[in-house]
Amino acid sequence: MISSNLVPAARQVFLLLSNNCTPRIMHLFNQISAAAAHLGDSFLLYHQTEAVLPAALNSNNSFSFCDNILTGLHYLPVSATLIPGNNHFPLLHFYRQHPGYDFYWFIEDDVRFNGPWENLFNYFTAQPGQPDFISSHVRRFDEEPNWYWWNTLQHVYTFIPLHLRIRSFNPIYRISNAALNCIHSILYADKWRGHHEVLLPTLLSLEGLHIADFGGVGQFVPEGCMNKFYVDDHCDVFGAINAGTMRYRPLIENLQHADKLYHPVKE
Amino acid sequence: MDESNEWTGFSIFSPRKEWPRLLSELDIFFNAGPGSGLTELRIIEFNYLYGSNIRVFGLPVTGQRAALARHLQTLLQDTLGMQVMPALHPKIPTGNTTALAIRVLLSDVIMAAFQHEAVDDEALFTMVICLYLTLLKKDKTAMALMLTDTDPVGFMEDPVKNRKQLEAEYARNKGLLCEMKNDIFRNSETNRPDWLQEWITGYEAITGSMPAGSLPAIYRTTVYLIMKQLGPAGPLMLQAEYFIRKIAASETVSL
Repeated sequence: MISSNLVPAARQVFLLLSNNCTPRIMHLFNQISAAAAHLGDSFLLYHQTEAVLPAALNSNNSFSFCDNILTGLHYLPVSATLIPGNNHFPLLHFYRQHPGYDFYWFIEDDVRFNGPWENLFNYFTAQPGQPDFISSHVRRFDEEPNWYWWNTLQHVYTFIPLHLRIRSFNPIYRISNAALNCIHSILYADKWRGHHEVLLPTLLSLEGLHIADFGGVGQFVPEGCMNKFYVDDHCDVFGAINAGTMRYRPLIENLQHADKLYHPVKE
Repeated sequence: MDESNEWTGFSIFSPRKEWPRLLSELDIFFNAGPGSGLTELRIIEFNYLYGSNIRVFGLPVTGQRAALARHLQTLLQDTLGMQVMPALHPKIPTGNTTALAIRVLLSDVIMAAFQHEAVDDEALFTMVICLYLTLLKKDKTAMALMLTDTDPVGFMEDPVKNRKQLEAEYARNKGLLCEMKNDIFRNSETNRPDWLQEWITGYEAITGSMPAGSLPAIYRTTVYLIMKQLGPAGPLMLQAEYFIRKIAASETVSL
């Protein structure tokens, strides 16, 4: 059911990132498309690794990219491959060719929502103060100082003090047009680079944009959202998220809680 | 598309020793020259990508974008003979009006400080320290944030050696740093350079009526913008942070 509080003027796009076009992935994509149809468009953000596109894909339902975006966008990657660290490149590639949406949802193909996806999409569409960036496990440096990727946020000559840095966990996030414009500018004109899980929350927050958490715990969780759309747990001493419903690993097989996000789910 | 955020921008490539003259010319252009009636706001950044350069961005009066760009280009290329490049991204990514106000204030301070003084690492370092200390004076929360357990040297390649060097540098400069802090914290305007007074007054005007809860975020954004607009080299910024933490911690009680 569509809430009456939804902001119909906000045009959103829902991007499912995958390098597969299996029936399982297409089923997930169709689920998301159907749930989001009243809010905007959906595309399979397809990582093309072979010469020929799968027959099921076309320009109406997919946006394909190759590894050449690591150099072709004129940003500085943190590694020679999409993973680790450069997963924001496909989204920025899409944004630069489709700059007309108000909000962009980015969803990796091993994320699941144990309930109707529209519950998640509608909830954040209806929020009065729309954050520019909503993700999971948003933490400041001093909360998890041993996290491995902090120091990937780098510039060719200057430096952001450590106590200003923020991390997030980004298998799924929503980001505004203004935030993407900001990140594009910083990567393209200023040549910052970093793992997206430190680069996005840190730079957006420092530029004065509003960042928030889907659920879990911590200072970035909006009022009433504590553990709402995922259940958070303590990470280990190195900042690795190995528990909770949104985690780095191990794989999740049983989705126990209703209306919660899960990652990584391999079926 | 938000036309209200379409700025006219140029990167002006020149050695740092020419920057005071360039800033003087830009000041005249925006305040008394052809740019004065064409520009709502202007932002100045020191930058070193692809060579030392000053980035200047002007937010044009409605309908005057082309005229502003033309006049600015004429000044920079034809009159001053500078090498210029249009800004790679004409939109200023400011998330809110407070951040924009701070960017404009920092530009005013840069203009005031460096029209008559050489831009070198020592001058930039002093300026970063003074601007940063003002934030700590303004807000006790900022002081607390600064004094968290975060170790600014933690990620350096040889933290022990670097900490030793930083400590030695700090010991050499402690007297001067205390003097700077006392001057800023004690509200004594004597001997204070004009640009510093402009910063203190301007920052108070921007943040004075803001709720206390919003100040930590403004503090963080301001530190970032100081780094972004003054462009201190990484080691310089690290040294500044190290010094400020030391001076903030050691002298708080006596003030």
